[in-house]
This record gives sequence, structure tokens and C-alpha cells, in this order.
Amino acid sequence: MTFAHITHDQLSRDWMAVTLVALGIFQLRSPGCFGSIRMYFHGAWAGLSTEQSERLESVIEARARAEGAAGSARYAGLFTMAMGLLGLWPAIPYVMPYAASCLGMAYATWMAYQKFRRATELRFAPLVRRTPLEALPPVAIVSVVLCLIGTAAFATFPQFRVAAALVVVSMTVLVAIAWRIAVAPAVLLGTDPQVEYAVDKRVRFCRATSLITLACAPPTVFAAFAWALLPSLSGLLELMFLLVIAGFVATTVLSLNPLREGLALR
Amino acid sequence: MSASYLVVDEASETPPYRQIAEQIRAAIERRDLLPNATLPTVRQLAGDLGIAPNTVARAYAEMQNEGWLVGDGRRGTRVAENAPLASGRERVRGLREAVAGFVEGLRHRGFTAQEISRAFQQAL
Repeated sequence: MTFAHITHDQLSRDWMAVTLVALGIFQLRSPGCFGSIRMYFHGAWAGLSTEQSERLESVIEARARAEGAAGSARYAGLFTMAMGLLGLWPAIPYVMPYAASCLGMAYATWMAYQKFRRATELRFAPLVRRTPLEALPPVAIVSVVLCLIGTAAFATFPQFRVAAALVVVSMTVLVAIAWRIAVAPAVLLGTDPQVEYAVDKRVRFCRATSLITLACAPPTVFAAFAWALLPSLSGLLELMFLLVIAGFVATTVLSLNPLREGLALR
Repeated sequence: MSASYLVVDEASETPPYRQIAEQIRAAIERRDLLPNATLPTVRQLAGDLGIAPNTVARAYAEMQNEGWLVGDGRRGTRVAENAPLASGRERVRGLREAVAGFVEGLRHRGFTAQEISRAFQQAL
């Protein structure tokens, strides 16, 4: 049996479809992995006393329950699977289903946050000034710019223009949602404001930076496929490709870093 | 409630802007907020509390007029260096007045001095 008749484009589509359907199934089976805030606190327990651990557990449990994020993650899973199948259609640019599924995951995150905001009437406010840079550090912003520059470079080829435009649209929407989360109010229920504020800060950072990672993912996939489809790349295009990869890696490291960190509680 | 957090009770008879001002004043008096400490922006505090920005702006304006806070353009609203802190004697007088009013209310509800005293001692 030979696969010589399968074109590069077809292979890319098949790979994308399999990946997205698998991702969708994973989201459906383990919605907590994508929607729940628990994953942001893997390393948070180190160094905490029993009493502090109980307080943290109680706050995380209350917030996770109020957000009900698992429901939104399941819808995002269905959407991701549908996008994977849609990508098999040759008329659709290959990067579109991937960009759309990133948007679906971002939407699920935003919905969870909105649900939590409506969970309480009486709200506590910390007397501390926050800036958006606490949740979206300069590294995240530079990474987005790198990915935009790289995408723009590949858009000079007519066959990639539509895909590049879709990538830029999805990036813009994802960055806008990340920004909204970075500047969103701190929602403290008041049961244990000190722990609630520490949890809110970490959730805000992790969500904003993981949305920036999601924003940098479509340009990375786009650049990788464009790089594979082009017969030869100039030195400048290779540099652009590396810029996109660097942006994606930087945001990934940034968003994963706090997961291992302990939480400082008084 | 931890010292550095505000809460606004919509059901209270005290207007929300006054609740905010009183709690910030108390935080300054307790030294939870030190001179030159930067306060949240009007928009941030209003968002966190889920109330209108005008309410927070009114509280800040009132406290600026009384000398507790200073507005400093782009640097935002800060605690004044010379906030009109009550002297030790004034604080004690305020405490005595508050306790006297509270005890008076309990006496009207039929509690004896002995019962009130015992309840105070238990609570402390």
C-alpha cells in the first residue's frame, strides 16, 4: 500500500482533524482539566499548614462550584470536535478550525468567569491597587507582537492570505478576552477574603496568560504548515517562523510557571 | 473580616459612599493603610464591590475634602501624609460613647447590668 497519492495539504487536514477530535473527546471526558481552577493550584499546597490547606481547599471548592466551568468546557469540547470534522472540507483554510476551537475554549473560560461574577450579591474588595500588567506581563505582550509579525510575513504569499487573516482575527479576539480577564473585578465572596484574594490573583494570571498562549497557538500552527508547504524559505522567512515559535514557547512557559509555585498565605 | 478589605451592605441604612469612607478611615486609623499608600482606582473599587463608580468617587471626594486622602493625577488617590488621625484620648472617648449607646440599647431590651457584663466578658 502506498500513500503517494495523498497531498501535503490533505495530510495536514487529516492530522488537524484527528488532533481536534481527540482534543474534543478529552474535553468532554475530563472537563475539569480545561475548565476547573483546580489545575492552577498543583504546587500551591507546598509549605502550607493544615489549617491553611483547609482554608485554601474550601475557597477553591466554593469558587469552582460557583463557576460551574465543567459545563462550559463540555460545550467547548463538542465545538472542538465539530471544528475538527469541518476542517476536512477542502474549501476551508486549514487553520480556521484550529483558530475557531481556540476561540471556543476562550469563550468557555469567559463564561465561567461571568457565571462566578453573578454568584454573589455582597462583594468584598481588597484595598490594593491592581494593574493589568500583574496578570499580563510584558513577556506576554511581546510574544503576541512576535506572532503577529511572523503571521504578517507569511501573508505576503497569496495562497496564505485568507488563513493569515483568520489567524489575526482569532488572535485579536483571544487577546481582547485575555485583557478583559486581566482588568476584570476581583470577586471575593467574603468567607475568607485573604485566601479568596490570593486565589483570585492566581486564577486571573493563569487564565489571562493561558488565553495569550491560545492566541499564539493558531499563528504557530499556521506558520508551521506554511513553512512545510513552501518549497524553500528565505532567511528572513525562517527568522519569522522562529519568531512565532519563540513567542509561543515564551507564553507557554509563562502560563505554566505559576502552577508549580506555592501560595503565600498569612 | 480582614483589615484590608471593604464591603458595602446595600441593605444598611448608611449610604454606600459613607460605608466606604468609614471603612477606609478605619483602615488608616488602624495603620493598615500607611501615609502615601495608593488606593484602588475608582473604577477598580466600584467593579470589585459591584457598585456605581460615582459612589466610590463621592467617598474619595469626601475624604479628600476632610484631608484623609489626596488626589495625585496619574499616580491616583493616596493616603494623605498628615491624615487627621484622632488622638488617643479622642479614640477612647469614641469607644466609650459607642459602648454606652450599645449598652443603653441592651437595657431597653430588658437585660440586666450583670447579664450584659457577663456577656461582654465571655465575648472578650
